[in-house]
Amino acid sequence: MISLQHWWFGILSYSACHLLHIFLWRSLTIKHDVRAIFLCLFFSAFVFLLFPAFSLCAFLVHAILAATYIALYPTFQASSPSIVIMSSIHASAAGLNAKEILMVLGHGNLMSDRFRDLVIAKLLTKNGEHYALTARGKRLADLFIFYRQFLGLPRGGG
Amino acid sequence: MISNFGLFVLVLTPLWSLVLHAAASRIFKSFPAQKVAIASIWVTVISSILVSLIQLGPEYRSLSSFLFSLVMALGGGHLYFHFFNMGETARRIRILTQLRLSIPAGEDYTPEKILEVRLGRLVTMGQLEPIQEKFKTRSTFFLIIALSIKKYEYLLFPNHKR
Repeated sequence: MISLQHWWFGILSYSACHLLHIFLWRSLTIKHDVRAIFLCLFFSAFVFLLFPAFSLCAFLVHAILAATYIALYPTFQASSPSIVIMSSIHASAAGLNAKEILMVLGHGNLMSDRFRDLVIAKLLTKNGEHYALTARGKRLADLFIFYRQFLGLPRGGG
Repeated sequence: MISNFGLFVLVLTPLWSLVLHAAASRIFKSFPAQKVAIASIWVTVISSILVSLIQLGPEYRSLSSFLFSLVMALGGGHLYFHFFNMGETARRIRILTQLRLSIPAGEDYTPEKILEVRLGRLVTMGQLEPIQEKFKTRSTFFLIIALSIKKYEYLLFPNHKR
């Protein structure tokens, strides 16, 4: 049996780290945001080990909340097109047609910004006009290719 | 209190979701992929909570153990859903897998194609309603999530263009 005493402290410690994350992201321009968010939300949990109330269960709660938010973070960082579509259609009382939605989405940066993100994350390298996968990029691509095959689903994404 | 086995079950909720989802996505091939994923995750989350509480024995069950199980199982299910969703919808994952499979990345995926894929998915999931040439949102839980995400995006990135 494991004691659940002070498990809720994990919610408090995570909330403190989350507030720090919002403050930093609003005040600074963060280039390597994936590394920074791991540092800010996940590894900062170790600071709370100094508090006696930070038990194993509190750490697990902190970790699961941090992992969940990190998984969700690309939706905010990259302005998910589905979210933009939903919010722009909702803002228009009469609804929007495909051409109008396309204008809201913008033509230029839907893919090019994502290529840039991948280069910054060292998952791609750019050589002139050509992109190539780095070793890390290959491993991540293989993971998702294997995962989709495991689910019996066609290649997805996008 | 929580039993060791109960904690083991809760911590591994994303893994149980994956196993059930793999079976469900092969059985329910004709259903929309995201709906199958969501249903599998809900079944796993509820099962994980029940298993962890049943394991405890009535003398140890409390509001605290229920809330802890709820947070851990929902968090785990949510984590798995976003992993699945990355493979399903993320443009960056699409670029990586296309390059890995030596398919020209991005060239076939024009803004028009992105819009077509997304509109198709949102209509299939019942989030949008096509009326003649236009699309209107339906009052769904996803709409609330989408609007909340947009608001939070402005909070986090006040200088975003969109």
